[in-house]
Amino acid sequence: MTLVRRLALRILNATVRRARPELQEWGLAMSREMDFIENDWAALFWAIGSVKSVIASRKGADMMRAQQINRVSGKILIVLSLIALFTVLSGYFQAPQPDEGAGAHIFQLSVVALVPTILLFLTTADWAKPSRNARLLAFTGVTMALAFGALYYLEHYFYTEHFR
Amino acid sequence: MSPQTRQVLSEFLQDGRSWKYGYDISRNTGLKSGTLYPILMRLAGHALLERRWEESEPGRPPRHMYRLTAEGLRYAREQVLHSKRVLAPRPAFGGVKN
Repeated sequence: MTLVRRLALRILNATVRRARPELQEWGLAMSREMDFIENDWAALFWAIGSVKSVIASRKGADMMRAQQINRVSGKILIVLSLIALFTVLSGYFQAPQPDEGAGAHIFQLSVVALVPTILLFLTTADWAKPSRNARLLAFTGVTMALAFGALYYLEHYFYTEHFR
Repeated sequence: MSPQTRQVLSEFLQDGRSWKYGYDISRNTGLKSGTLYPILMRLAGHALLERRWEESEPGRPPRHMYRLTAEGLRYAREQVLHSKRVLAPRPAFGGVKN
């Protein structure tokens, strides 16, 4: 086996070994075909192309996973912001408690959970289509602004007027 | 659909349901492995292509072989026919009436 062919085979086999299990069959298939390529340089170009396709498939799979994470984190953002808003609104239907009740804790937890969820959403977002991301972030922002506004009004005006 | 995918489908349509090797498809279509295999993977992912390992002569490694599934064959015929219709030359000004 010539040096060029040995190099080609080594490059391809090293890539196949590091590929995801579902890609290994394909990588092996491309590697096996090299035995049927007579020209050494053609074999080297075949190996380079094969490495390119294994890497491209890996990137594609990573992108798909990022999209899934982005979809789920987007839904979690909506749910958390709505939980925060409705928890505050529920405070209008009950008397102020001497200590923080369950509602206050739910509100605090949902606000805290929003921070990593927003980060996850932003890092996995596909910025080639910014309108969906912007809509979701705007919805979360408006809902949270309403929740904090309602909380401020509840504590500073509503309770003093109704439960003095 | 990319012209390269159409090329691969046309190549499979040459012999209907016969099995083909990756390198042979590459040679016949002129597509490099970096273009051909992602297409084959996508077709297999959509269950349009089936694959199997073939035992070669002793001393030679087994090879991966491919052929279109029945669904793949139908899809390939539709696509290739559609592209022929789209690419068919149309006479200017509606052609000449005899």
